Amino acid sequence: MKRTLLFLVMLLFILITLTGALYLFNQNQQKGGVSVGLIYYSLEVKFNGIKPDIQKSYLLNTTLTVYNLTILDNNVTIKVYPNLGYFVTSIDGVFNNINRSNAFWIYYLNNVRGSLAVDQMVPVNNTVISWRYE
Amino acid sequence: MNSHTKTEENTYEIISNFESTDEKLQTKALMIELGAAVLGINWLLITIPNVEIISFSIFFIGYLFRTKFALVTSLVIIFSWEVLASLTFGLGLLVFPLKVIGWLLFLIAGHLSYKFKVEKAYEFLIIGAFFTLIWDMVVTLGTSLFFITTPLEFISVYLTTFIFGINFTIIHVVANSYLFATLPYIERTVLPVVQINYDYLLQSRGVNK
Repeated sequence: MKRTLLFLVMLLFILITLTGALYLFNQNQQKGGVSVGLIYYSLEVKFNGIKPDIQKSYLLNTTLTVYNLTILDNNVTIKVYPNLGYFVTSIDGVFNNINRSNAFWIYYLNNVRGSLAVDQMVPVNNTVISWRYE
Repeated sequence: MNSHTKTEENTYEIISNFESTDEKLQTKALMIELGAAVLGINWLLITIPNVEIISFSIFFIGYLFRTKFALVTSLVIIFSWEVLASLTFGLGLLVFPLKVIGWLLFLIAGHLSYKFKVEKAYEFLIIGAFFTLIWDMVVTLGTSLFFITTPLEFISVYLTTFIFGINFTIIHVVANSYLFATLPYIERTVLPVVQINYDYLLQSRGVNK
């Protein structure tokens, strides 16, 4: 009796998990699936010799702004310009124009210099975000 | 008389040493044969996504053989297969520890199935489906575990990854269920052959069954 019950519980678990996941998968397909699809980002922070460079990969279920992505694992300070957006003033203790004169934090998306403020730029899937202190 | 007894004792000792060496060699030979057979068949199936016989084989080995032999053979199969086929591809290396955990669960399940006298095809089918699902869930942990840093992200990415891979999970579960359902027939065919030479490696079938 106990044994039959155990097998029934196992069967129920299998059915609920598979049908539930399949249902959610279909729901997502009907929605278009872009916003909850897996997004892959690669983030590089190049300290220009001051500290060892950082390279990380992220697999997310949503897109993020360059700012939100950068603060996931780094200490970032910013200055807010009301009409423009966020401007990064330091990453992990390396400050604009302080640790090295005339060197600033500039971001690149797939080796192309960013054209928007960090809180407004949302990279697409498979983007390499590169912060360079230059 | 005394020296004669001593000679007899020495002879017995030599014979028993030979027998023990013979048994060790036989054990290793069986391990290699099993490993080669599993790897060979799995290699043939490599082009079919999520259809594999490693899980079934490990369960079967756990079901049939004693703990030590089953564990060592399973580890030999797992490590050989991963080095041969998986570690160099994509996330292979990252999810490897989780795969090992998943497969060891199959081994434990096989062992327990024998202890609890699971014999019917439908019982094996359910066990196969259940542990395959668990295996997939454990291995899916790898993606979220290695890429995500915050707990909230971890849960959402884990669920998303699992849901997005559900088609592959279903193929895996269905294929393994079928294989597991055939276990009683395979056991009936294989057991008499194994019993001839490797009775000492089998779980105590005479007592329990």
